[in-house]
Amino acid sequence: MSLKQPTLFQHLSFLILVALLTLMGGCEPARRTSLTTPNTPTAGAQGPVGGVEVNEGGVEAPSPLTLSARAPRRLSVAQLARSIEVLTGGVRWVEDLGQGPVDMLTLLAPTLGVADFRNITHESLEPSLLMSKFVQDGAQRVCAAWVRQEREPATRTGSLVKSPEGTPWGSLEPEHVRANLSRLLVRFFAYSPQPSDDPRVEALYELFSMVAESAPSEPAADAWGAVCLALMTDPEFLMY
Amino acid sequence: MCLKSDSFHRTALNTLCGVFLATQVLFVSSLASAQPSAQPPAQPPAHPSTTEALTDAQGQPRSLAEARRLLRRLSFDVWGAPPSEEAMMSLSAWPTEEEALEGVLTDERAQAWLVDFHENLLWPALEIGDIINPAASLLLPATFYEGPLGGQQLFTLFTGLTRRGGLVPCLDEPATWDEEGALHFERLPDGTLREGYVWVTPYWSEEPVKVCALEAQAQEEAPGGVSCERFEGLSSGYCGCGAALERCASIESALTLLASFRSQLTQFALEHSTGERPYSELYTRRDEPINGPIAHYYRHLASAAVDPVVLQSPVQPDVLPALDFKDNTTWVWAEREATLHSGALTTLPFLLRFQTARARAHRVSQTLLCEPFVAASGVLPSPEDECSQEPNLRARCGCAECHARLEPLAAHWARFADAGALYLNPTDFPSYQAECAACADGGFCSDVCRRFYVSEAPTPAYENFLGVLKAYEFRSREELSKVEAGPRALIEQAVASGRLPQCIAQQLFERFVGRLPTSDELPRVRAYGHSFTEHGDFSELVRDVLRDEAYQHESAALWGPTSQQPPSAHQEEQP
Repeated sequence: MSLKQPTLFQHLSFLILVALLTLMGGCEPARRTSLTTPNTPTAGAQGPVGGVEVNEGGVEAPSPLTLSARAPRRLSVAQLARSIEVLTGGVRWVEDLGQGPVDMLTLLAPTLGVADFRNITHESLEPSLLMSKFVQDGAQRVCAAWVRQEREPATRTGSLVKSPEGTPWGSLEPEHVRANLSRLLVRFFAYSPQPSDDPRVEALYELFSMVAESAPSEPAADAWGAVCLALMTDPEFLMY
Repeated sequence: MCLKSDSFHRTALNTLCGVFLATQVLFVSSLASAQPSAQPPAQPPAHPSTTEALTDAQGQPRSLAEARRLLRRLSFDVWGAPPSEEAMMSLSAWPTEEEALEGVLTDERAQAWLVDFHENLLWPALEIGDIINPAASLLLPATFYEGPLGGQQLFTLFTGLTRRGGLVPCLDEPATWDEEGALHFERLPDGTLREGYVWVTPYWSEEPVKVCALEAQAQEEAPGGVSCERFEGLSSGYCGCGAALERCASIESALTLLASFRSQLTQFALEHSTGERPYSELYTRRDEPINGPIAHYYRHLASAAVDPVVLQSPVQPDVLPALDFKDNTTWVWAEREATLHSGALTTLPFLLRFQTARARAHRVSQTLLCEPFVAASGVLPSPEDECSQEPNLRARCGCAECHARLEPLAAHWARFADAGALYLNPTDFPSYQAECAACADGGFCSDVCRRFYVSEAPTPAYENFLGVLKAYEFRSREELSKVEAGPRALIEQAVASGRLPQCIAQQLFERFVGRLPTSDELPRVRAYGHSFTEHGDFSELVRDVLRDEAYQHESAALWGPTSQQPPSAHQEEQP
């Protein structure tokens, strides 16, 4: 399999996911007896959105789907930058493009549609392939930096792997690895894994094991890097 | 900056492909499980008490999974960042949702959303050319104009034009003076006269900078007696930038100024979001927060800003706080001279971001009153049509639909200059000037007449307005009362009628819930707005919206009822 195949696959998967999310934006299980949905998607905090007036009786209900819950949202660029920093214990996506270190999410802000209130007055939070592409680019750098930071005792924050006393950071002990994978799922997605055989923990564990087995010299570092990539490129990372 | 090697990447990516597929399948499965069904949704299984965290508004326990997701979205929405690991792992620190909500809202990180919310309302974005005249500033070094040999000395274009014979800097060598103290100039082959540079410690830095000797002067008056504080003096090339270059801006100081003016709105927002002061005062109070850079701008730079026209500090010099330019963190509230000043709606950033009274009224109507301007018909009549010749936009066909409502609103800003931030005080700018009416007869017409008064009548409809302040043109008696009342009257009326509180309540709902309220939810949102009208406490309104069941219910499109199982106690142990 070539290097490009997984990326392309991820793009396609993301497209499918975007389509599904779009289609199912209003698909909530009936929590209430009255089922209505707005006739227009919202555009954020800009007043009666899109010029749609809300009538005395509320918005028309053209379909029987309910919308009693909060709508899922994509992280803004600022939220993404802060998220990476908080989750990794301070790592940022920084590149040196020839004139010293540059914060890439700041540099890419106009490309990613961050509002400057002159040329762009509203940051679109719709799922987008452009956002997905740059998150994948950033994840490559951030995950590498995160692993470097965490494998060195002097810079370690414990944000990637927490090791009980006596257990080395690079331990491949299944229980140790699974416990940390569960931790990371809570941290990244607020996902609370089942006590045992949780499918998401097991999928990550399988990834961890495969990478560790084929790593040339530092199995734990490479494997945790792969786990980081899997978490950071998961569409759920960008949704809340 | 690869992790390790190419083999690592191949392995990781190949494996990632499989995990990604698995993740997607799980994710899509959870979406599928969220399909509406005739059957009631599956209820989460009962949880052992060790996994319960937080109790909701009804005192019912939430599952730990739900509680964590609530904390995550609260944290993202309010702090703009995920919660800490400690908070996520030990939710028991907040036994009730009310305490969790308080914990998040009272954290200093909660400023993040307040700033973002108000910036989205009022768009505080200025550019350098909005606040200073680039030709009278020290924006770029000589190298920018003359290549690498030009040197790093700073100069102003006006001085180059008037004293050196071209838009050129001085020489990249120290300045010299003759025995009588006259600056020595050297004539170059291109015919220009060039002096040398001097070192000056500027007001924006502790480090000296190279400045052309002419620009480093600190004259009080230009030839002809023009004050060097005014644009006419500064542009003569004889004044110089003054002591510590105080009359000129560098690129560094200009960027600091832009950041300070943007932060001014933050100060307004923070001051009125805690409940200590009524929220509506954000848009009505007469004073404004000033830090070091803004104080310096008002004291030394504003008088030379003529296009857009700032010209005068809104705060009298003796009221301006004595803050150093480099002190950009200390904010002092200072009263503006004109009684018409009205909170954030007459600040320099707002007036220069929205440069006409119509633009200002449009933004406020759209964002604070939730009354957008949308014409029922998108088709305009032909410009040849007789009714298209009507100069009064309130009556012109095609325009009237919006302008009949917009013009009366715009009247509230009519005493603030278009293309500027200058308050047109009635003493210096009376509603009628006979000399400006005379412009139409072909006599001398001053800049003031041409810019601020109706000085020509292209059609007979304008003849009645010759000599009238443009802000009064075509205004009815009712509109004229709004001109003299300023934006504060508009906001006070909107608060009294409940329109502004209702609009803010709706915008908060849309922001946090991510969609318009449904017909079921609308009465609740209106009730929040009604309470907000009564108490005026923005923080209480925020709490109302975040407590609303629409926010509290998580989206099953992302987290279906079967996608989360309760963890056991041991799962919560730290590795």
